[in-house]
Amino acid sequence: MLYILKSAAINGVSTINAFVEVDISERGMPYFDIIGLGNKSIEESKLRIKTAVQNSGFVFPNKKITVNLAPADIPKQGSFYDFPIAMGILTYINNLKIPDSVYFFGELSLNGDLKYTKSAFIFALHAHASGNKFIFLPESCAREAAFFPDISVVPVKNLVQAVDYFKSGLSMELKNANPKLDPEPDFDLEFTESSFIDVYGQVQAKRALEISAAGGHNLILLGAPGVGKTMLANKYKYLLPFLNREDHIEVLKIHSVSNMVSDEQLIYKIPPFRSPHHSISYAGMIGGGANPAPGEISLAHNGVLFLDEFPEFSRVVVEMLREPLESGYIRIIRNRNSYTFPARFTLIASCNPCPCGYYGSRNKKCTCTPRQIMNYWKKISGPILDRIDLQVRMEAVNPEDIKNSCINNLSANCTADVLAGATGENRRSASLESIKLRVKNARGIQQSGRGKLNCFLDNTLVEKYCKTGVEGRRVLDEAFIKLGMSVRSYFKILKISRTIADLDNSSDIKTDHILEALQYRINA
Amino acid sequence: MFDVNRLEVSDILFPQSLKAISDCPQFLYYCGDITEESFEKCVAVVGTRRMTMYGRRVTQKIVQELVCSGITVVSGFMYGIDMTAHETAVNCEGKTIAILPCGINDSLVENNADLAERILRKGGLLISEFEPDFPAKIWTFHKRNRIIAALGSGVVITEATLDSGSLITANFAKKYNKCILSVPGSVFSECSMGCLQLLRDGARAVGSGYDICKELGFETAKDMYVFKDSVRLKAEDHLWIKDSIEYRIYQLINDSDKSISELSEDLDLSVEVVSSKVTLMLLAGTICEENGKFYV
Repeated sequence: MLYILKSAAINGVSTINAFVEVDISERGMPYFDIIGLGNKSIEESKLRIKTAVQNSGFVFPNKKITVNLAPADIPKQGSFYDFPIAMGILTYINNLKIPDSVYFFGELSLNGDLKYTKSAFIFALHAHASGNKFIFLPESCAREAAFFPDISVVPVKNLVQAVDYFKSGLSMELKNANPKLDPEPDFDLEFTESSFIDVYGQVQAKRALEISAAGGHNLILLGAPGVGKTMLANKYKYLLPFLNREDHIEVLKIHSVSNMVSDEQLIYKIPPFRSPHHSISYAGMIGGGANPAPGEISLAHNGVLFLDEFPEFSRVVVEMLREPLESGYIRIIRNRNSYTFPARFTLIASCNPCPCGYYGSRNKKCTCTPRQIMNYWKKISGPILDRIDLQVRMEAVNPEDIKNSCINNLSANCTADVLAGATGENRRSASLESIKLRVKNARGIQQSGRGKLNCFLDNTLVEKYCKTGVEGRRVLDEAFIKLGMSVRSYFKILKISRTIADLDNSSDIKTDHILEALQYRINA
Repeated sequence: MFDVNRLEVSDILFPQSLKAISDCPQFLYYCGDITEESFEKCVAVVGTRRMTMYGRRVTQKIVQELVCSGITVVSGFMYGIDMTAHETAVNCEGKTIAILPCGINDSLVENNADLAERILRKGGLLISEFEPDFPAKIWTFHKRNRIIAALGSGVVITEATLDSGSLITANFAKKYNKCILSVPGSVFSECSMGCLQLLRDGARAVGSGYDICKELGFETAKDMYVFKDSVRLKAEDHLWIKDSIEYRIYQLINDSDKSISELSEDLDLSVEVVSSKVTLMLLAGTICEENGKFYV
């Protein structure tokens, strides 16, 4: 008897149609084997399936059982084939009738229970795209799969329950089995609480974050230890607008193949924020391994990659970022296949001015020799620094200042404002809501007018969209000579000016916009 | 590779001030054009390698004022205060003499060949008592300090820790009966402790090039000059304050160095406004920037 069940093979972050063919032959020696380029976990699934079926109270057929995972020339991995293979065998045992539009997904435990299996989201996406109706999967995966309302998700505890579904002919009522997700909580409230309040001062860096969020520009924060670089960078994700559905699916897809997708990720459309430690290997950063999995740059797709202590990252890892920073994707070529992972992210880097951290600091002596400083900066190569549009230095805030301003403003509300570095003029523009609004508007202008964010404008597009007035051109030319700018930084300034103008809701780049843009560069 | 010449102690051009000391070297290696005036009106400006921004600013100010008064600045060609002194002198189109702790063709000079060439181009000198390929050793620094002390009419120490090599130079200066001039700094700053020690021991306190000229009996220049893009401007002429915001920014920066964030908070103006004003002032040359902070 031959049973064919629909399934999918996951190849990088894309899926293709696959079939689980289970043949149980009455003739020949008893035997059970799985073919079709499965990896080690699929090889081992034979024992899991056999034991799970027996422990669920069924008699495992003493026949010649051949399982083929078609198409046979594509390598397959993952433990989610356990369930469909077992269902193929159980169909034979219980003489079930399984409709064509049903997918099975999940890993088996030896007692016949179904366990959480990663990639449920991308699997559901495959089912959604290929127009299939039902997915049977472990209860713990149900929320991920239920993201798509047009497919019916059936959470299953164990094999016995799954068999019962088809025995009792319930298959037509499956539609109602969709688990409900909790209603969306009021998220804006939470954002306000975690606003910029706990970072004192540093208004220029905050403004740079705003510009970066608006135009997708990469940003480097430079400053002595403890000035608040990491703290600010961590706030960055709250400035970004929520993802649209298309981008959200893209993000979930990548995250689902590499680890568990949390409920927060499913419900809230917050752009991802990744901050890998500097000990990361190159495969961890760009993706790789024998069966390539997405790396941090892909997990940060449509979001932020924050590299704290940038020069501490190994040089190989940092140089790998060049290509994806430009193209927005990474192609990993391994012996069997080539994989393309999306990797369009905003890079936020932070670093100290020198190894000891206090070069140029007011209060502390730098103990580095010029050679040490040179070597430190050598780690950040020119080509990488060239791709970072915004560069900001942060100066330590005098602790006395914080104390004094707190004492002067005894009321609690006032203190919070002072801590946010927002008084008078600054308070109006520094509130998180107003920044978010401006960022959203600026992004809207870019998407509708140019079809892409300003950071992705190439030189021809810069010339097309970043026209300056006569006075602006004169200032720019003067700065080019006096501040010793390179041609590339000339275009960078134009792009940043464009974003500042967009934030200002201005169709022309005014001289003031250029003058401000000129402040976001470091004379190295 | 530099064109190295040798100067015997018996030579007429050999610096008289150096001949006067008991442990005078028997010959000098040098690079550049030595004339009879080369060693007239020399002042040594030295200090720590681990300078703070304060030390850097003081050195820049003092050297600029000295150069405007036509004085040749002598220093030790080491990074930190020494290098700043040479650089500022060259930027102000002034003469400066670098006394090397190694041979003239050693890697130490090669690594900073750009500065060395600029020193020579502005009529300055590179001088060493060691053979051209002699590498720098700990004791060579000590030895060259005596030449620095001997060549200057006085020794100015702009910033020094208690263990700084510039105190050795000061000791030599004392031995040779030269005037020791020290710039006071914050008593909280480790880098000013050496200067404080010198002041306690009777060094003269100075705060500007005029003070130094007065102490040493040199004439001071009537006009102060600044150099922007190698163009000589009168100091007052480059202050173009256009409006009240610029004026307020100027006042704040004049008080102490400030970053954009600090200016924005102190003035209660948005970063956008402050940034564009500061850029304008920067382009006009009213203020200058270093490490993200702005100075007058």
